Amino acid sequence: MAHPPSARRDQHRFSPPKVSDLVPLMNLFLIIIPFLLLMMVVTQIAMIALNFTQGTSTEKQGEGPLNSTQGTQKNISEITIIIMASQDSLGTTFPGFEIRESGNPKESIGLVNGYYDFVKLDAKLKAIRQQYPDLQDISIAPYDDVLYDTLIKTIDLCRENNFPHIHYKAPQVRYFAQEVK
Amino acid sequence: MNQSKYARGLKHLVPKRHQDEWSLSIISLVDILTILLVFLLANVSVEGQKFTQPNRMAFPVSMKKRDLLEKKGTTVVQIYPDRILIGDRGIYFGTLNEFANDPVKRTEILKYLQTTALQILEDKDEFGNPRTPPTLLIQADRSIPCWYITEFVSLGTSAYYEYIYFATLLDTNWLQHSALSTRR
Repeated sequence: MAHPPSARRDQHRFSPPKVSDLVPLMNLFLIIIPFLLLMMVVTQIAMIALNFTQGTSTEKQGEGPLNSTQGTQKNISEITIIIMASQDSLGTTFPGFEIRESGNPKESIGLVNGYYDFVKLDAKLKAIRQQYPDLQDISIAPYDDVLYDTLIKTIDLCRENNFPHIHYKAPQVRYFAQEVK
Repeated sequence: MNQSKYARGLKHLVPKRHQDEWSLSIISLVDILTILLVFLLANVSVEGQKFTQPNRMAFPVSMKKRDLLEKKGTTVVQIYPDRILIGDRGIYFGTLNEFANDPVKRTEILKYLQTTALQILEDKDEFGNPRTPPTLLIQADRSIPCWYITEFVSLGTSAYYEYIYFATLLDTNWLQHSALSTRR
């Protein structure tokens, strides 16, 4: 009578395959992956380049390479958008935009429902673009109390209307003393 | 009957591996994690961290994405509503109030910007030209008054910076949102 194979022999033949220990590797992954996820950039950052002009446009030009076109366009109007946030006692400033164009009367765009009317500003910029197809420079002069958000949106609208050279001006406040006799 | 007796007799011959198959195999999980790791390593840039949106700062928005020009030596200025940080390491330069009222603080900032710009300009190529033009990247909260921005632009131009950039967030529809707000 034939005997079945012994249990000792079978144990060797059917032992489970040896699997390498993956636990340290898993631990490493579990540390690295959250770290990399934290560093991952989700938001899309955009940039706005600036041509800087201090004071009035004739006083001092920035020396950046993008500042080169204004001198070649002396026959074209100079456009300045003044951004204001408050009304002064004399009524010379008001919350909104004022577009000044040499040789033309200035145009005012006030707030609508307490918000800056960027739609109207956009329409005005489109009209200027049609009037001067070759104009590349535009100046923006925000008053000190205007918020940075408003400034950036105004610059962005100018960029959208193909004004690649945007000059940053600080509005000058001039006081005239009247002689009292 | 005979069959079951035979099966009982062979029970000890059934390999044990069938009993282990139900346990979770982590090999496929390791494969997934490896792919994820490679993807993340390919996409994460340490340099890019410098230009991301800082915590607790709300950037203004713009419609198009315009990246920083390549090969720029960039100095970052972060203007929070309560503090000013400058440089890659975010050196604290006081509050906005101190910046507005303390001439010493402003001089310190100007000196720091000048030193940083000169360091960038010292790195020259074989023709003696600066390898990386100095660039000032202004990251400011959208609620900051323009006076501070104007002052930093002025400090930047006084400190040999050739390029000045404003950091914004991409929002292609902000004009439409603005139109809705003004129509209400």
